[in-house]
Amino acid sequence: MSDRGIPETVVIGVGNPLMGDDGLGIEVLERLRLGWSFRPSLDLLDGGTWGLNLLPHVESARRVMFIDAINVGREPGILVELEAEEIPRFLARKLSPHQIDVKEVLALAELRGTLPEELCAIGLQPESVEMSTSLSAPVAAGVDRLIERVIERLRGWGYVVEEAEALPGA
Amino acid sequence: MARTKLVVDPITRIEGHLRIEVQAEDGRIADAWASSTQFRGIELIMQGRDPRDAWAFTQRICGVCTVVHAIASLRAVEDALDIRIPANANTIRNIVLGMQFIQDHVIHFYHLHALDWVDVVSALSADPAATSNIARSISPWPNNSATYFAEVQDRIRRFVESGQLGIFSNGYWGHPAYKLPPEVNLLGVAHYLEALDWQRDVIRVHTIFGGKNPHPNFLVGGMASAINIDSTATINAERLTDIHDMIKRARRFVEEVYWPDLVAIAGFYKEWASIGGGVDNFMACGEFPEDDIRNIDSYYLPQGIILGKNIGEVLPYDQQLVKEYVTHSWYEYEAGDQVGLHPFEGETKARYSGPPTPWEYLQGEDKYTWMKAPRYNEMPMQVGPLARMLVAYGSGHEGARELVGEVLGRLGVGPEALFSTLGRTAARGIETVLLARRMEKWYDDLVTRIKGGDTATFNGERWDPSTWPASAQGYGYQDAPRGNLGHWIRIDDGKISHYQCVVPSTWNCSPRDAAGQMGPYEASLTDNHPLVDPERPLEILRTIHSFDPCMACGVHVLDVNGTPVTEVKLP
Repeated sequence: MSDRGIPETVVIGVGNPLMGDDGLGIEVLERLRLGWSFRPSLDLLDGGTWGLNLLPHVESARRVMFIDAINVGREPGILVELEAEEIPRFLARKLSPHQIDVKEVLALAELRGTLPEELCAIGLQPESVEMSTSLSAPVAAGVDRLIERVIERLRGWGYVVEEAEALPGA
Repeated sequence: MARTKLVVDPITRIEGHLRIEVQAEDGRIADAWASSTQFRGIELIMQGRDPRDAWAFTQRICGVCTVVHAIASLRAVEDALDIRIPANANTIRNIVLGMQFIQDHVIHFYHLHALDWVDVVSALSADPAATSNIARSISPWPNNSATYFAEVQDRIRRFVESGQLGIFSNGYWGHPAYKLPPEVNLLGVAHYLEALDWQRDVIRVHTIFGGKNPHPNFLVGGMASAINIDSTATINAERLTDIHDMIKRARRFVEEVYWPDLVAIAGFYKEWASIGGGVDNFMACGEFPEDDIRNIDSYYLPQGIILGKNIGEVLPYDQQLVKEYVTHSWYEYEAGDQVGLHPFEGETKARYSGPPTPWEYLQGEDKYTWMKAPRYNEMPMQVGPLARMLVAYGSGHEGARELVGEVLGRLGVGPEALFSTLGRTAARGIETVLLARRMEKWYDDLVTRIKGGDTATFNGERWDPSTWPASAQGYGYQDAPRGNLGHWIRIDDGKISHYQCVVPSTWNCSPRDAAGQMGPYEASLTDNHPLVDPERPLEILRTIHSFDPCMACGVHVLDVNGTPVTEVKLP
């Protein structure tokens, strides 16, 4: 990363696509990757469920946006936005003892003095986080609105975001 | 004296975690139950899929073990379809998997297990100059000045004084079972932080060979990494050099930081060499084939079974002897609760019969977990680094014999000390050193072949489903970082018709079986196991973490409101 210089912004989709609505972050990331173009270029990262791998990406960016299913106990599919200090309360996911979660990644970055300047998380309230490869109906219905909001925030950060033209042959 | 019921169960909103219940009596553990509280049914969502895509689904089973499940899945499909992968692909898989082991073991040690032995808060009262002296006496690692350790100490102090211990907020700091001098605690914490930078560097091997991490690309029939020494878009001379440098840096950290720290810390905890032994059977399916995987003799870490702690006799391993029981698990089998089923015949039919959540206790319930109980020839088995190192030792593996001898000698204990909590932790370190050294050979093998003009990484003869038999079944195994992992697949008309995984943590976290035999966690916790203060069950964490459990054993976590993770209930 350092030899390419510090990336301005990294958008990290987190979650597990085998766990129903938990796959939201990865689904949205793919849709951003395939359907939109960004200037200047943007890091779109499949964060999966492994937090510690995220640390270098979080540490080396000026702005970080997480996209995830966020459980705030509201009705499924509702748009949720969290700003920096609210994030650790809601993005705790741990499938293994050393599967360090987002909360711990941010704490480690803080300990090392490498927290990004801006940090937010955008997502939807999940309905079901159980073994399934598809999103629940209310969450699937909210994806367009979520993508719209992600793009608004990126534009607010100075990015030019346009719908990608279909690639020839694609 | 009445028994104290104790539950070590973290946050219910975090999925898939491990719950341990014990009964404490007179400072020891009288009875124990291990429970995994999330249902996972990967088997169910695999049905009807293209077997060539199976790896991509299974690698999402676990965020840590992505590479592990992907490769086990490839091997299952390649076994079913009799696909032989090119030598380069095998070597690349060894390098990718080897680095996974090394990184995983080191991260386990510093980021999970070390904090069971290293008191972070005590490090604040260390004399950095004395830490520097200790560091110099045990290792040539260069970050060893008093100034360096003082800086680390300052950083921790600022973090702690900011009013939050953050990641360290969940330790039992000050517990009398912590025995390291403050100076050694500071050394441990410094290396905890250094390991973060080290791991992000060396794991780039996965990015180079697999395209991305944590979810690299794999390919049935080989590897997706094209080799062309002169091309910029493939594995070329520059990337090979990069990989070689990472292998060297990985080895140096393992030999100069992890291993000396492990041996030094172990020296303060020798009593743990006679605690937590538990199940005395060990199973290794073997790993790191240096020829085609069908040539079992070519494995760098050998395959075999040890029964009753008899390391003088290594018995052959036969996967047909594996059966899973659901007598005490929330599943049902058509033939009833008393039978065991081989994974080819395995059934995954959930039937929750536990009490309503939130649970008070699961102990006393007939069925108490989502884990099945795998048995080998009707016996519970320990799997993981200790099983592998014992099988290697018993098979006359020179490297294992040398390092086992070294650690036993330096601790002044006999071979029986291996069958313990400390033994599991030491074996993980021994294995890491062995692999960090062996990586050099795999790298050399790869480069030698490439220089000789062999750049093949993919065998596409059986890629097209028209070349497949109408029905086929296969067994893909891997001795993964946490132990014996099996994927069993059946393919009918080009699609997956049956898929079963038996993962290492299922072996170790197994509940009781039809015959009432405890699984390894349970047996270890009830084998002469201390528990001085049931309110702060540090000893339980030490033993469970020594197995490196890979389901959310969130026992080191606080929930969103800062509620302690341990609830203690008196009967």
